[in-house]
Amino acid sequence: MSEITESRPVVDEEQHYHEAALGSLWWGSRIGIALGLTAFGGIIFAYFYLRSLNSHGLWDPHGITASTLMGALILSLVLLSAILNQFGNMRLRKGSTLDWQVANVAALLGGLFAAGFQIWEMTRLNFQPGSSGYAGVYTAFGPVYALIIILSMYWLETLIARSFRSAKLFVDEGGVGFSNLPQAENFRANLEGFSYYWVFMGIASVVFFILFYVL
Amino acid sequence: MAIDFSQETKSGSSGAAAHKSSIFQPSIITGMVGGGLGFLFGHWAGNAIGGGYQQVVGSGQNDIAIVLGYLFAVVGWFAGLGALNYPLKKMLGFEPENVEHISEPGWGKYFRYTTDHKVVGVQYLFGMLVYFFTAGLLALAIRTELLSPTHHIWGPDTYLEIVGEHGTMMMMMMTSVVLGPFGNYVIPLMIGSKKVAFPRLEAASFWFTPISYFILLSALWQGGFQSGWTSYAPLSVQQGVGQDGYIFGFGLQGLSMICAGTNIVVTIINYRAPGMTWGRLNVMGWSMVSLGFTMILSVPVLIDGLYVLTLDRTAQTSLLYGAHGGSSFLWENLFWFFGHPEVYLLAIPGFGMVAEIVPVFARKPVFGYKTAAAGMIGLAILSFFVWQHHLFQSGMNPDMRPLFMLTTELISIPTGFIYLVGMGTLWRARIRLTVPMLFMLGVYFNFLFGGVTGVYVSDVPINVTVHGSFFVMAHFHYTIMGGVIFAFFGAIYYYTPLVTGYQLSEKLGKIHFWSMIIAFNSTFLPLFAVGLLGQPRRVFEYAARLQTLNDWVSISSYVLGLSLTFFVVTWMWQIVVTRKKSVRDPWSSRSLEWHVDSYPPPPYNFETIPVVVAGPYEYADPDALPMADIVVANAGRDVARESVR
Amino acid sequence: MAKFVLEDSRSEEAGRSALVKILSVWIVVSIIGMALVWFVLGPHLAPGTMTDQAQGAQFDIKFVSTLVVPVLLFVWFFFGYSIMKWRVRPGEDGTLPAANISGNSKAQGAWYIITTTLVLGLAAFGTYFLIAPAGAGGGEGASPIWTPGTTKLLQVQVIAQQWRFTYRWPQFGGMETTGIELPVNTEIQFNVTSLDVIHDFWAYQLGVKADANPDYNNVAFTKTLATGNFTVRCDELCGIWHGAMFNYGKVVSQQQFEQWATNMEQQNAPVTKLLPKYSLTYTPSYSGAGGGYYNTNVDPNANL
Repeated sequence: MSEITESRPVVDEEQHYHEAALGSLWWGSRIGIALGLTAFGGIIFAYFYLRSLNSHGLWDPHGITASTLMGALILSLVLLSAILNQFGNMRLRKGSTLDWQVANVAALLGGLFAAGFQIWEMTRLNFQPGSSGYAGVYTAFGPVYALIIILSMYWLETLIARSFRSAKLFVDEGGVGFSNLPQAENFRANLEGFSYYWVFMGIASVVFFILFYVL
Repeated sequence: MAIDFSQETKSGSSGAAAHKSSIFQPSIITGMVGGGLGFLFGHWAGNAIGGGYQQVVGSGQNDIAIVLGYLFAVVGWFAGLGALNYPLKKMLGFEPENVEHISEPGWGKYFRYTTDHKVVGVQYLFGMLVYFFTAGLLALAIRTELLSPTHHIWGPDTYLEIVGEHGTMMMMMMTSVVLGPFGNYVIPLMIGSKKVAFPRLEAASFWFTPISYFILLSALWQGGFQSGWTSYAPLSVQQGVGQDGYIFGFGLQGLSMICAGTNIVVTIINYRAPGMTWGRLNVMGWSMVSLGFTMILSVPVLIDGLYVLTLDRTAQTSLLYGAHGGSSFLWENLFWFFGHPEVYLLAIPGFGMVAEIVPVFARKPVFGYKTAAAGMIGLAILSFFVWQHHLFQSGMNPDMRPLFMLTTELISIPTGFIYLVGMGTLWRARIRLTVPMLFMLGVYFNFLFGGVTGVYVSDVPINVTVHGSFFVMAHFHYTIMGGVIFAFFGAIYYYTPLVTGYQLSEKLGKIHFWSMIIAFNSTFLPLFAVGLLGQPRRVFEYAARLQTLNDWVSISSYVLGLSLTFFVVTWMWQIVVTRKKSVRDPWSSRSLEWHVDSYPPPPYNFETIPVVVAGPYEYADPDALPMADIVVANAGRDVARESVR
Repeated sequence: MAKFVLEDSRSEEAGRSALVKILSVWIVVSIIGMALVWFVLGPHLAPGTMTDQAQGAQFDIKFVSTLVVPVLLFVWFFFGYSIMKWRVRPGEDGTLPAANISGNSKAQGAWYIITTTLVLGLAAFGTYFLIAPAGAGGGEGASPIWTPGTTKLLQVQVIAQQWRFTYRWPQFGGMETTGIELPVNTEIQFNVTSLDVIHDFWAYQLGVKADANPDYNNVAFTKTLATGNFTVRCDELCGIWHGAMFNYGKVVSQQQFEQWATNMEQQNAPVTKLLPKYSLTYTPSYSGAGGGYYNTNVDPNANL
């Protein structure tokens, strides 16, 4: 026993768990992507399955889709949100916490409006939910999409609120973008996870737009 | 309570005075109040929204009200538990809190939303036992009905409600039966960590289960669901509001699985102690990683399926109904795309438990450590490519059948690895036939029947005869009950000294084991014959010529029930009344979880982070170092280390 | 601290001789066991020999059961012997080390090769016996790919609904009967469909099983070889009276069948007139596809 305790390397416990937490944020966000992929995957599977079966020619007999205008609006808001978030991150790396905050408040609003429009659209569909295969799949897709956007925006909101509340911690070190404090590293890891996830959702949104409004 | 090896006193419920607890402190009570209020609000809202629609008026059935009621009940339940406080605090921008496990003395912590993984493990253990015994009683109710081919105990509707509840409850509970209690409790100790990655997700994963239990059971007094645990559409669309209980019960369990799976995977990846390389990770850890990823990638599809079913039942979509552009095959695909990975995610942790415990009682390394890990990963991956073997007679995609037959039979290869590992580990070993070991050998014995009959059901020509019959039913009871449940009970016997600090009687354990394995085989072995002789599943009337076999099975199932009752009584008696204190490391295991300061482990797990210098299975190497340099307070008697040197 | 020495009973030699013992007993017992399953149990296995498909299924079950015998015995003998020989006796210290084996590339390699060969062989076997007897009696969907290779098929439509089976006979004026009789030595095509939820047509002795899906035609083939009675049961949970959804049929001589069918056709003529036109599916569909069972001319999209 003694021979190994003597040569025991010194483990900085705080650092160990700090790094573990950073790794967890990385993995957590990637698992978030996997969960999003499979959750939408089921609905997209339903889309292709029913489309290819086309039971009784009733996939979408009259070629009706939900309002393309609304779809385009929602898509652009989501993409705008993702781009603003990325832009903010760029500014953060340059050291401007304020720019990050402004860009991301805008990104937050963009996402929330996208979710709001999606919900609004669900109340004014130009078809009955049971009138065709497409109608059913769209009715299934809409609320999930809105919910996922809202949950993503919750994540972004916690980051923004945190950047405001903890701002004075990092003042001396040049803001949260530069600081070496564990809180700042944790914040940046969290933000990196969110941004990665949100870019993925942006790309997925393009796919959804093509499937539900264009094809 | 605790056996603190350094100090005999200083613990116990007398310390509760320091903690002022009142009924307003968030707990299961406030949770239930919140859930009740939420249900009332949701039900009112559902009636307000759906009350005017043609489908609802005069039908006496408003699914929208029930669905919204359940939805808000869940929100109210978590609000009442205090689970939403932290997320709201984060919205205000507070830095993430470092979870320090402060042990709250007394029993109160077991009824609260708590971030201590050991408390969550214990909560899970009791929760899963409640699930298991409720569903087990339902099984006995089924067997009672089948005592006679023509005389009925239950009406046909009640009978099917019981069948559906039994199946759904068991399938829900089995997903968490090893991960919940043992994964949560032991894995952080095993990997030498003081914490888990997402303690609140872990806590949430448990607290989903009580409400899903109540919601699922509540279906019974709303007419139940007569569509079984598979709930094929359009039958499930046709059902009364009891079906909504199925949807929510199963769906919430799905969310629980996602939370638990995410936490365990991220914990194992990030929180391993220094030196705990992937090559030193316990096989149990490998099984949990495979399990977690399987859950993450399959469960959302189940939730999709349930959601689609909900929409068909409430929003009048027609996704599962062919005449309006949907397809009943859609449900079958979505359900089984989850459903088949599910049965492997039941089996994998059972195998992990087996491969973990056998070496301890064989005093040998795991035979083919990499093979064991590869077997579990292989099972997890292949399980995503076999789902259509449940649909060989459904009429869909006949051209795909040879492919799915191939993938299904390929899965016997990683399953075979588990046998290779077991047989190799017993070879020239020093086998101690303790109670946990007997249960693990029982897993090998039972699962063999489940495994070889799997070849029958996966072979399409044979499947024509056995699909949907009692043969299939016996097959999966052998794999799930014979495999996972035996592993579960073995693990209870193995870990009770660690978790409670009390040693269990070998004699009583052996009575339980032998009565259980004999009654189990006597119950399910004849069912293979019953199925081959032509009895379909889920029937309350069957051919008169099959009565003798069915009666044999029913009587055996009562014996099985008695055996399990014997377990509950003796186990509770020993941990509550007789309380024989455990020695340190009673099984002489090298694994880290046994080398803690006291049993049960202290809240902080380890005084300092252990530095791992050797593998967990080097039992046969007399010169092997201990696994880590844990400085145990008052080491006292430490069997493994003393005897090796 | 004395150096630990492994006792002889756990030495490599002991292991080798144990393996020889296990294998020799295993081979002998396996041969006996396989012969018993093949010759004694085999002819009594489900589902009998009334049709070509049932016979095929019986052969498959017999084959797999015979193959399972050595697998079961090997694992049992191996576990049994290990436990008997290497268990800790009372008074022994069970915590001492045992043989330090963490793997054996030969044993592992052999295991991989044997299990893989076995599994691939079984898959090939299953595929062959799926394709050769025209889909082995299973439901092949609307456009079957494994067919009997003759056009002289007796068409029997199985209509499942909660909670009974009826049968329509397109070659006998589209009549619908509640009972079923089939001629012997005849290729039969079952067209299985449902009017409501998913059922399953399981004619046990015929070796036929096909889900009855609403709105979908599921085809299964069989060739009758012997006369006798058979049972039809619903094999997919379909609601409260699922357990009571069964009836019985007969395979009779071709003459008797002809007589029965023409008789039924005449008796049923007034009813047949009122039935919807014979179709492969019956759907309450506005498009009229599939016979338009409810004949509702309502287009859900009409007002758009």
